[in-house]
Amino acid sequence: MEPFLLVLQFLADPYNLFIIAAGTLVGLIVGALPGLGSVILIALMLPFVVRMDPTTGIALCAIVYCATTYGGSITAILINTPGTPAAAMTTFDGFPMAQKGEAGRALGIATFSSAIGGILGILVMIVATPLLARVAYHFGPAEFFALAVFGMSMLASISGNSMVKNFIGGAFGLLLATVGTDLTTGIERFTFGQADLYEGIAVVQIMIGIFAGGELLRQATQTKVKRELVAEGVTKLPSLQDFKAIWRTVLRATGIGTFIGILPAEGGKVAAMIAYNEEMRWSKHKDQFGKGAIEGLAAPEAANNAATGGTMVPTLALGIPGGGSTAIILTAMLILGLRPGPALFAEQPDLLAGIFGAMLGANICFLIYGMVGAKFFSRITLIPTTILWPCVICLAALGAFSLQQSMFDVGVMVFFAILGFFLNRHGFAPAPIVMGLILGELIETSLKQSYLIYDGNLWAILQQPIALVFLLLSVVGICGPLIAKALGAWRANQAALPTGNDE
Amino acid sequence: MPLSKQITGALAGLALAAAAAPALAEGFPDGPIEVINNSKPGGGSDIFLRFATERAGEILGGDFLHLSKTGGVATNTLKYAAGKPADGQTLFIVNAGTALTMMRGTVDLTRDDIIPLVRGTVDPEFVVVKAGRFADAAEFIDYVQNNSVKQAGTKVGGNPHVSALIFRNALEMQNQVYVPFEKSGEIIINVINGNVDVALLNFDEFESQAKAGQVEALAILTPERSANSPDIPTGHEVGMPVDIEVVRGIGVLKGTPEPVIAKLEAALIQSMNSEGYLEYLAGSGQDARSIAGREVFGAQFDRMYDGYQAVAKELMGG
Repeated sequence: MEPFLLVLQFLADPYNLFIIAAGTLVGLIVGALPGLGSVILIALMLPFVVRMDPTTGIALCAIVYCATTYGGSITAILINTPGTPAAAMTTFDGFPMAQKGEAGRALGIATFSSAIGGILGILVMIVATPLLARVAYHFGPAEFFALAVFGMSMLASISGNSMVKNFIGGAFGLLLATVGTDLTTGIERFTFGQADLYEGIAVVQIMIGIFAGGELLRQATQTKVKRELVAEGVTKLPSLQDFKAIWRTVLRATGIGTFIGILPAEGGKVAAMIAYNEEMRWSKHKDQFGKGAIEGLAAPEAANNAATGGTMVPTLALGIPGGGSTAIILTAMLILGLRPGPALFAEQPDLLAGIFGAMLGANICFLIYGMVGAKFFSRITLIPTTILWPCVICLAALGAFSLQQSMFDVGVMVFFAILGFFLNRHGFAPAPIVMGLILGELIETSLKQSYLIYDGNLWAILQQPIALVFLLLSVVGICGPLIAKALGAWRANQAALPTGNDE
Repeated sequence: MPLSKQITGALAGLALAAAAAPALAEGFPDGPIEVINNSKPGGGSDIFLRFATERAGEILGGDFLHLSKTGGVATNTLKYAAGKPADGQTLFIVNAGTALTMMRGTVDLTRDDIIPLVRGTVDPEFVVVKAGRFADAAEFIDYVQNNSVKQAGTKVGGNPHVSALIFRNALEMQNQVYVPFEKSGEIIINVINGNVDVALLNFDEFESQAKAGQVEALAILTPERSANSPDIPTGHEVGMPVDIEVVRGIGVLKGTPEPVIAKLEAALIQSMNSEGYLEYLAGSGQDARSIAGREVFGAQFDRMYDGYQAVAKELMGG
C-alpha cells in the first residue's frame, strides 16, 4: 500500500498539480504537431530540468512523455497526419471516422483509450516494476526477430484490399526500411551517393507524406464533391455504448503495450502496430477495420500510451532506457545525481512516487483536456477542404523540415505525398506499407545480429524458448483462420449432404 | 613595383589587419551562432553541446542555435560547416566521428581545415563482461587470445567499431566478431544474457547493472584509475595497454580570425566551468579536468586521428 500512499501524497501538492497541468498542455500541443515529439521536447527541456528539484524535474519529463504520446492522436484523427510515429495506426480508423462526421466520437474514444491504457500501464508499473524489468534480460535479437515476425503475420489481411496488394505494400515498406547505411555491414544501400540518405529515410517524413500529402492530393481531385457535415454530429462525444464496446479491446491493448514497452525496442509504434493487428485478428467484423472501426482506433491508442509506462520500467529498475525519450530522461537522472537501478526502489521511494504520480496525473489531465477539447477540436473537420488541406500541408512541410532543418526532408515528404496518392488510387492501402516500414528494420537487424551471435546457424533461433513461442503463434495466426475457414466449409458441405434416412 | 613600396604596402596591410582584429572580435558575434552536431536531437553529442554552450550566449551577448545534421557519421555536419564562412558564427562538434569522416574522404575538409577549439568530455571506456564470467582480467585476455570473441558495439564503421578494432589489436585477439546494436541498452542486455562476450562501455552505461551484480568492469582504458571507480584497475595495470575514451569538443573552421577564436575559446571554457556543465560532467563520473582549450584538445585530436589511421584500411574494407 505504501507506494500508492506516496503517489497520492505527491498528487495532493498544489505545485505538483500545476506542473502536471502545464506540462500536459505543452506535451499535448507538441505531440499534435507533426514531426515534433517527446524526444525533441525533453531534449530542449533538459538544461532547465537539471536545475529543478530532482523529483519535479524527472516528473516533468515523464508528464510531457505521456502527453506527447496522446497528442499525436489528435492530428492523426482530424487531418490524417500522425503527430508522432506511434500514432500512425490511429489514422487507419480514426480519420475515416472523422470523414464520416464522427470526429468528436473518434477523439473521445482515442482520449478514453489513451488514458485508460496509460493509467493501467502505470498501475502495473507501481506494483511490479522490479519484477517486470527482468523480462528485458531475456530479449535478445532472436526474440526480437520472432516478435517482429509475429507482428508481420497479419500482413496478408491488415487492410481490406487484396492479399496480393497487401503483400506488395508490405514488401515496399520493407524496401524503404533498407535505405541507408546498414547497421551490421556499414554498407550504404539505395542512397545513390546522397548524404542525406545515409541514415535512411525518417519514418515521420514518409508517414507525413503518405498520409497527409496523399490525402491533400486526393481531396484536390474532389473539390467539386460537396460534403455536408452537421456540426452537432461532428462534435458529438462517444456514447456509453461505445465505451462498453471497447473496454475489452482497451484491456487487451494495454497488456500488449505494457509488455512491448518493457522491451528495449521500438516502444510505442511497435506496440500500437501489434495491438492493432491482434485486435483485427480476433475481431468478428474484420471488414470494418480501416473504415472507422472503434476497436481499430482504441487498440493502438491504448497500446502506445501503455507503452510509455512500460518503457519507464527498465529505465528506472535497470538503468536501461527503453526508447529515445527514456534515454534522455535517464541522462537527466544521472546529471541530477540519481542512479537508476534495483537499489532506486529501496533508496528513493519519494522519487519513484513522484514519477508514477506525475504520469498518473498526466493521464487524468489529458483525459479532461481531451474530453473537453474534443468538442472544439472536432470542428476542424467542418472547415472547407479547400482551406483546411492547404493549411495542413503547410503544417506537414514544417513538421518534415523541423526535424533536421532540412529542405531535403521536405522534398522526401513531397515525393511520398505523390507516391501515396497514386498508391491509393490503385488500391494500395497505407497500412501494409507502414507495417513493412516499422517492423522491417527490426526483422532485418535482429536476423543479422542472430546470424552473428549463433555463428551463422539461424536454426539456433528455434532453440530459444521465447522466440519459439512467438514463431509458433505466428504460424497459428497465419494458418488458424485458413484452417477454420476450410473446416467451416467442410462442415457446411457435410450438413448439406443428404443422409441415408432421407428417402 | 619598387621594393620599398612593397614593404610599405605590406606594413600598411599588417597595420590595417592588426587594427581590424579587435574590431572584428568586438563585432562578434554578429547574429546567432549556429552549433552543428552529428547526432539526432536528444543524442549524446546534442546534449553535450546544449550543456557546453548554455552560458556562452550570456557571456558573448548572443544566441546559440543548435542544428542536427546527421548522416555518414559526421559527413553532413562537416559538409554544412564547410559551406559557411570562416567567421566563428558556425561551430561544430569535434569528436571521433569528425576524425573518422575526414579520414574517409567523404568531405572536402581535412585535418588542416579545422581547429579543435575546446574539449568538453573525456569519458573513458570500461571493459565490461558478464559478472563471474571470467575470474579476472588475465583469464579474459587468455580467453580472447585463444577463442573467437563476440564483442558488442554500435553501427559498423562508426566510432565504437573503431574502438573495438583498436582494442582487438591491443589484446591480440584470435578472432573478433563484432555484433552491432542500435543502443547501449541493448548492448548491456546482450552482455548479461550471454549473447556477446564483452563490450566497451562508459561508466554511466553499465553502473546500474554493475551495482546489481549483473556485469563487472575488468578494466578502465585510461592511464589512471577513475575517482568514481577507484577499485577498477587500468588496462595498463592488467595487461590491456590501450587508452580508449569518448572525447567530445567544439571546433571552428581554419581561417576564422584569431581574435574571434580567442573570444570563443575563452567564452566556451567559461561556460563549461559553470555549475550546470560540471553537474552534467559529474553525471558520467567526470570533472573539470575534461575541459581543455585548443592547445591540449588539438594535440589530443591529432593522436586520435593517428590512432584511427592504424585501423582505417580494415574499416574501409581495404
